[in-house]
Amino acid sequence: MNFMNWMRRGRSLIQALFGKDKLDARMDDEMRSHIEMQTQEHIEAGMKPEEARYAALRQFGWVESIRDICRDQRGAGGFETLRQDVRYGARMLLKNPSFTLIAVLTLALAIGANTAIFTVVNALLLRPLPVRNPEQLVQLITSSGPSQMNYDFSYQDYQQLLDGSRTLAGLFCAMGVNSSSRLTVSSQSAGESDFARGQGVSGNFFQVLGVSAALGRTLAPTDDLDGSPQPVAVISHDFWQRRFAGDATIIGKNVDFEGVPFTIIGVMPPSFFGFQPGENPELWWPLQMIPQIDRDPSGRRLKAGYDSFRLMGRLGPGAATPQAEAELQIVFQRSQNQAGHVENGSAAQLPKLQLRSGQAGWSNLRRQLIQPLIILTAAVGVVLLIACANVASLLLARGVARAREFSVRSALGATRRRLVRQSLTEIFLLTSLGGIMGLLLAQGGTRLLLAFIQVQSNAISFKIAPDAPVLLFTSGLCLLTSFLLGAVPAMRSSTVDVASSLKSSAGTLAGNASSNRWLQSMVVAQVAFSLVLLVGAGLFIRTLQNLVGDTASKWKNVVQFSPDSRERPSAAKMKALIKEITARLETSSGVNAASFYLFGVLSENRITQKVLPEGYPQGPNEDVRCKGVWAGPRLFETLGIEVIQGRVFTAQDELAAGVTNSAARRVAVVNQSLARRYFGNGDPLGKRFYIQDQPEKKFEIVGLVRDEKYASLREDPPPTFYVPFLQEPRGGPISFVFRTGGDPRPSMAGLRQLVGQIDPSLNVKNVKTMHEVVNANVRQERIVAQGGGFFSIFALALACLGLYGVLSFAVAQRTREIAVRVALGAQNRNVLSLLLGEGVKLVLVGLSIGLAGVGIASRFLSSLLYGVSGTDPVTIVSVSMLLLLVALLASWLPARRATKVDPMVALRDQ
Amino acid sequence: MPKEKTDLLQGTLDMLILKALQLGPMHGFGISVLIRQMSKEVLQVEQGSLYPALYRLEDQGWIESEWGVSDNNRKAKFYKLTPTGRKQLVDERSNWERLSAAINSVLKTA
Repeated sequence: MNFMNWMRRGRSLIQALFGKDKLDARMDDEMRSHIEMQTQEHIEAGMKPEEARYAALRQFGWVESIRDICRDQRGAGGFETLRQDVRYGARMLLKNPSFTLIAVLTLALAIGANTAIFTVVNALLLRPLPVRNPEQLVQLITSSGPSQMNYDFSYQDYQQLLDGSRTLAGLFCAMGVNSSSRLTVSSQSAGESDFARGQGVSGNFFQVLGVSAALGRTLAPTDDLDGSPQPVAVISHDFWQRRFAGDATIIGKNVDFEGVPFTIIGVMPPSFFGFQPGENPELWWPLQMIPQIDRDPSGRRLKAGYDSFRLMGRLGPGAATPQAEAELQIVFQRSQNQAGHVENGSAAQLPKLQLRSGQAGWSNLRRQLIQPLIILTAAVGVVLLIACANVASLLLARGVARAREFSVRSALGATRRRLVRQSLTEIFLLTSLGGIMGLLLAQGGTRLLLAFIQVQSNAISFKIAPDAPVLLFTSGLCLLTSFLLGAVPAMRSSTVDVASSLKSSAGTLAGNASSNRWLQSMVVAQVAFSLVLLVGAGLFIRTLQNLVGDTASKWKNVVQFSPDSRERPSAAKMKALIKEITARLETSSGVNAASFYLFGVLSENRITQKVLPEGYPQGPNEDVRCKGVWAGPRLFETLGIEVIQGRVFTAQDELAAGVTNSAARRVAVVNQSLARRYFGNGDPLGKRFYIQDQPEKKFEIVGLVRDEKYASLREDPPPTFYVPFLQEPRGGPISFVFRTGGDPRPSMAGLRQLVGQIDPSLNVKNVKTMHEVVNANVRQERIVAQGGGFFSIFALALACLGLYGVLSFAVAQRTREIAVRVALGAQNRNVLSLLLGEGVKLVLVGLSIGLAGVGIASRFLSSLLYGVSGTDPVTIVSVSMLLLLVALLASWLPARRATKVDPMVALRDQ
Repeated sequence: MPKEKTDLLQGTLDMLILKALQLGPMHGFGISVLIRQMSKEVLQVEQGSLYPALYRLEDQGWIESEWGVSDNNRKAKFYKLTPTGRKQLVDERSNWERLSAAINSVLKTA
């Protein structure tokens, strides 16, 4: 019964909304028929037809008001007025196209910027993985200090944790995504191979994540058995499309991956991208295949001491994170003790295992990007506020111009509520339009932002099509903006004085004090916000310059690359190759010096060793770790590292010193930090040191070089020692560097050929100028500096537009007053100074408020700056000058217009 | 006080309309005539109250409407009771009787 009721009501509501005219007509018919019947009755009672009709009509009362009451009773009253408001609002907006365009554009840009940043933040930090119950996932990390996070474990750790845990329903282990793994599809010719992003994972990877394949099957634990792994692989949807053109017969196809034959057994669905947002692995293989892939039968990487695995787990039913963390911590410590990692017997110094939420996946990008993204989010938030202030001033100005209209409507019986609702509807229309445009703009904006934060060769690719959270965010932003702007008409409605506004002549409500004050405070607010943004951006730009500063000039024309070979050469062959490549590089045209070394500059990987000079009394808790660089000859010359004392390596030093042969001295070169730590201001030359685990191998210091920043541009250079590589070869990835006299690009182009001449199976990868390497290293700062710079310029433009608009409006309003002044004898310059003075006053007030804001903000920012303080006077003063100048210009134009006022015309016009 | 009076009257008018329709489907004009007659010319329902009441009753689902032809061969909108309307009439009637009995007993005392 109740349901029927609702059905009927729903139907009549829809009728009321859409069939309004028809219903009205029907009502008219009904009234008419009533009147006719009434008339008939009167006639039968003896009245004349004319009189009868009049009597009937009179009795019927005012038809219109009955109609309205009936309409209200019909139950669609609210919608009726809404429809009216929307239609009227749209018409008004169309009548002032320039106002509408400016307002919508301003809002669109501000909302679009906010949405773009939110999209990236959402994809990187917030969005849950497209797996089953992502809230149960946890990420395992270790920390040996408040800012010392380590994300990597050894395979031994993994096995111990897997066996020892009861609280986890599953734990998987994965290697990093290697973007330079070679993949050859067997059916193609040997020359056509390609790089694929491969990731070695444990057999239970897909099970723990809770995803199944779209085609074929996923890896299973049986594929990853210790000692007998299956050479099977699963590929991603995108890879399937890109490389195999969506071949339907893909299952069972054989490929050659890193020289090992694999069979493809499954394709993942399009939404799956692994467990690391931002990394898009294309192929997953069982990590027990490491011995084959590495061409290393001992499977070194699966043994203790190699921390190259990332761990993620799923909480078991009913298990809570603290519980699991406590249990895993115990298991982990036990495993560390067994592996002999105990240092100085103190358990307190062992790294602690911690669990983080894995709902949004595993990321160490997050750690790097979270700060710059937060700063940019704050910046665009401020931009939105400025944009709102701008649009609010526009609305205020228009409201003043429309005061007459409001007065008339008010006199005709519109309640104040209705008038306010009308204004709010218009505002809502504006913000909705702005929001939709902003959403469209955000597509491009997101792409731009991602281009900023490119990680070297990995493309961070997210799905940037707007999904639910982004749309919700944009809608929420529109609503918020509407509220902010809606304050304006609500305020104004209290000052509509019907009588006086009707009396005064068209549009000149000169000196409507309240709205003037509002307009002025809008401008002041805009100036203040712009100042804060500009100063912030300026500080970050200087930070960036300081960081990159001299390294840029020192490493101009230096190029770094790594060798890439399909087969893994033996140690002896490697040595020969290195010598040959270096020799060829040195003799190739344009190259001044060439060398090589383990790992790379500004790379996160570096060798750390404990170094003890002969006879050095080590304090109980003293940190004696130093960085070690295994280098080729001429490294210092190539990289431009200044030799302060002594010499560099020579060819003699490179004779390999076997354990028994102590005839060839082991030599080393140290940097200033190391010398300072162990020898104070004394001379380090001639002193000897050894590496803690091997006291019999002593190195003699033959040279002292200037400190050089390797790992990070921010940190102070750590104590570093340099050892000739060829004297003491060591496993690890080699990087070659060379310095050219002029433009390095021709040499870079010829690299492939050069290397191919030595050995046809050799190739090069990761060819970069040091400039690119440095840029990648200062990515965070670069993002904030460039992004902040862009937004603050935009804010400045908005503020100036606002100032210009307000002053123009003031001029228009005060035309009469100015005319009178001119008539009374004011010169051009008086008028100019009057108006300019007002503009300048506003800007100065804004600047002082802004300076206070800068003071507050700098407290938060100072940790991110480098080489410049949060209240750096140079930056602040120069930015303030800039703002003042631009504001002066914005004020001057309308002031100039004021001087063109012809008093006779102006006075007559009123 | 005046507000209460209107409310009472509104509810009472609804009840009278429902009662009028109990005798069969009727158009708006006919309902006002019927009520006038049944009340011996005491209650004259104004169109300004009648039609809003009719729309309200229809919205509540106690009556439903249909276009038809009147005895003078004129097009008119006829209303008739729905089953829920019938029940509503019974309820309102018993309420009214209870209410008026109570008022009477108050007036009789003192």
